[in-house]
Amino acid sequence: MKVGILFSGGKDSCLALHKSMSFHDVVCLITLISENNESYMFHVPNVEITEKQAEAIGLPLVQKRTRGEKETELKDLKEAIKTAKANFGLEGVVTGAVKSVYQSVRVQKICRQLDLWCFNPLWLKDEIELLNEIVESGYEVVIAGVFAFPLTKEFLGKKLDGEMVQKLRKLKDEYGLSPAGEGGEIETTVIDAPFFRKKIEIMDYDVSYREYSGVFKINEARLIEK
Amino acid sequence: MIIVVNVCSDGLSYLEFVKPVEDVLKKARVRFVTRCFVNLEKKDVDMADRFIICGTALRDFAYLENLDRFKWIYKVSTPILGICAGMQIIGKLFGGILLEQERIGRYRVNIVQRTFLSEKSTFYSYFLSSKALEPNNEFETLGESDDLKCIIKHKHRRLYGCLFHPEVLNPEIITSFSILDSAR
Repeated sequence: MKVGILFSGGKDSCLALHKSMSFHDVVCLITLISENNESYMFHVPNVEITEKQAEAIGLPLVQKRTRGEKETELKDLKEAIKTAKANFGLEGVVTGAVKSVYQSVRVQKICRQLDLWCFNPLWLKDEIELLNEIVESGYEVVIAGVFAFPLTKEFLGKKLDGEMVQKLRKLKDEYGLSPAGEGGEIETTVIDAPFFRKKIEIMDYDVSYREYSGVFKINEARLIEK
Repeated sequence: MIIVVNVCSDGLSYLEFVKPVEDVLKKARVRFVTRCFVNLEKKDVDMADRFIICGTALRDFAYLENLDRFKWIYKVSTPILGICAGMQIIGKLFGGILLEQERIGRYRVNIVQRTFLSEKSTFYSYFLSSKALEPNNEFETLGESDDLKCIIKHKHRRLYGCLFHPEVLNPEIITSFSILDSAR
């Protein structure tokens, strides 16, 4: 089946893509760039880097900008999926949804309206299991955003490795923090993965942080040989 | 030993509809094995002390095209819990009718008859279904969501059905079923 991946460039959409490759013909990535920092559906730091990621993976990218208002962003998502269906003969859509009923329900409904299959291969996956799978599979992931107590500035730009997973597990036990950031507490950017043909090198970045909320913003990046 | 029956025709859907049920059972330290419905053998059926038939994707109706594969349900006396597609299978085998009625999202369920499945009288559940079941009169309704019969039980056999997906918001339903006394 020809499928497209709803792709934010973070760890979840990359892992969903990775899993889909074993079962289906992944024909494109679909990205919405939200102008609204409060968007429930699509707000992700460094979403512009999806262009580089798509090039690194070797897949076409269907990208659409949205003002990110509650209902219009769903219309924009539907339009983006419709475009992908028309251009690439899409038969199904894959998301990286793990816990968000809000997000998954909306994508399920759009897919049903467009006569497409909808797959959520990470659905309800244990968060520590998810993080360990990312690390053990050889992904290179940086923490691109923190949005919850007690996440300090020091997390921003750090790599997700075994030590970081332990740290996040501890914060889960002590503070009830979602270790994989499934409530939007942590956002990530993937700069390399086993299915990347090239990896991303970060050339320039800025860090902004205030009261347990901050972003590691990639200003410039390039693709390099692996 | 519980047999978890996978009715997904697509491998990727297993991760979405079967693995979460397996994870609930693992957390409850309940022994289980998973079998795809097309590979379920008599020896599997004979060794099981209960069954959970999982759901599948909205566009997947392979289970309805292969209802013959579920005729073992007539022969067993052990408890069976059908989730979404699983409830449709149980209902259809016993003469129920499937109606085109979409329900996708989080909806309130009201319990109309208490059982071991839930101690609460009302709760929210996650629905992902394009068909409703109108069971025949061999079944009684245990729970409703608006006008939708969403928890049913056979009057004389231990066959239960949930139209919603309890693994999402109500894992205690799966846990309660998994520790149900199979010899009762």
